[in-house]
Amino acid sequence: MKKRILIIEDNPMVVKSLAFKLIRDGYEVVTAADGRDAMERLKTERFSLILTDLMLPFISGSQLIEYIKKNIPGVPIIVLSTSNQDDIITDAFNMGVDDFITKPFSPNELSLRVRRTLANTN
Amino acid sequence: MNYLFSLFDSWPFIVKLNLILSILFFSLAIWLIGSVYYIRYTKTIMNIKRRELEKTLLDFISSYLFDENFDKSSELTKLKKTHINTEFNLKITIKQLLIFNENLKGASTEILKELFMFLGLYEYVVSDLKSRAWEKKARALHVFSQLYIKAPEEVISPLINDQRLEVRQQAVLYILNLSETNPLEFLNTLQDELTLWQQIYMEHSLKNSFKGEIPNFSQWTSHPMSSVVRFSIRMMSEFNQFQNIPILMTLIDHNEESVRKAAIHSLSKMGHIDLIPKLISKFKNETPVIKKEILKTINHIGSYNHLLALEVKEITENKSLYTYYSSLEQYFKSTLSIKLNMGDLTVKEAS
Repeated sequence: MKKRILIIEDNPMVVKSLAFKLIRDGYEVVTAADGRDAMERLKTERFSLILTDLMLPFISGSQLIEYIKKNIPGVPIIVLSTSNQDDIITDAFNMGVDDFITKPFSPNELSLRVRRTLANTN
Repeated sequence: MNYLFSLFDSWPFIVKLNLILSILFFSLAIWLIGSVYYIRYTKTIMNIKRRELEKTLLDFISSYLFDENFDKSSELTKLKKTHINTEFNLKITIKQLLIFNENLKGASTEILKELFMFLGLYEYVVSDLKSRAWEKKARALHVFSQLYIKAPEEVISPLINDQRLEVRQQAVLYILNLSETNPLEFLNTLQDELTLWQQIYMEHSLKNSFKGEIPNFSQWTSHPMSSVVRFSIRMMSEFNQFQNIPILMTLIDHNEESVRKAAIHSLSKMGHIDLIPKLISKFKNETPVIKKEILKTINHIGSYNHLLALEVKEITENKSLYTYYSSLEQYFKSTLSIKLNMGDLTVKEAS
């Protein structure tokens, strides 16, 4: 059975690239363009991994991470963000995210990190 | 018809004038409303076309980048024929490529460059560089510097001294992003002062994008443009060029106040304590701006004794300077008393 990945990102170009790459890697990809849409999906669907931006409309990435850690703690999270400030990266890891990727990102590297995170979770 | 004309002729002048003006303004109002609707309509159509093209390009570029089974050559020809045919579409295609380039790195950016060339966008952007319109030139420079694509040297060089600041700014960014050896060589031929924004961009590029060896900034300390001299002085401390301390020491006596201030500031930042005796001897005859910079330097690398060595008779006339001097004096006194108290405690503990 294919592993399901939820991509939470408001930039259509990034969503398209990520989805394209991950589908080609053999995953089932679900996308959410904002925090509210993502929250709805998290309440009703199950995912193997969540790939999220921090700056999102309506509900921020940090709020989503808090929700996931409280309600579905076993699901690994990878943050994809433009921020490369140490404090933001440290905060994200303190919240329990599994990996942090800064934009601009290399799709091949991202693909490897997704595979590694899923392998570590299993 | 004749009846209407004869009726119109029979009316008094004021009524005729009223009627003519009413018809005129009514027509004008109709024309204005029509124009507004027409502009809104064309804008909506343009937006729909833009969104459609953006979606097509998003799919195309994603497939081109990540789909190994994508027939690149035939799809490229098809796209060029059907979509890359008007100036409007060319602009949108370039914008989409820039968005991809901004978010991706690694092998993908090389493929994006390749796509830029294959779509014939290089020729289009070079023609913009040669254009008379400043906004086209600035945009073209921005595209090349973002995609790290080299443009013909003979087209770029004159743009460093372009009449428009926006073009000059983009030209500087282009050179900084694409230069492999001496990114600041253009300073030698610069004919206008550097703006603050240019200096910020230059510093940012040197620190974050430039991969080569940082040039020795002492080569521009006698540049005719004062802003270049000040920028070079600042960069000497930013890049820890301690070998240039003797040159900076001579610049403390420069005839321009802003250069003297920059030199003192840089030497202070580099922690060059030998600077202080020279500043103390200069203090009396300096301008208020330099006096304040000297006080800041004493605060940064000096001591209370240095402050006491200053001749401060004239200082009381300048309120801001006097306030700064007094607060500095208070600061040194309080630090000194803390140190003395700590000493007392140590003595008591020992006894």
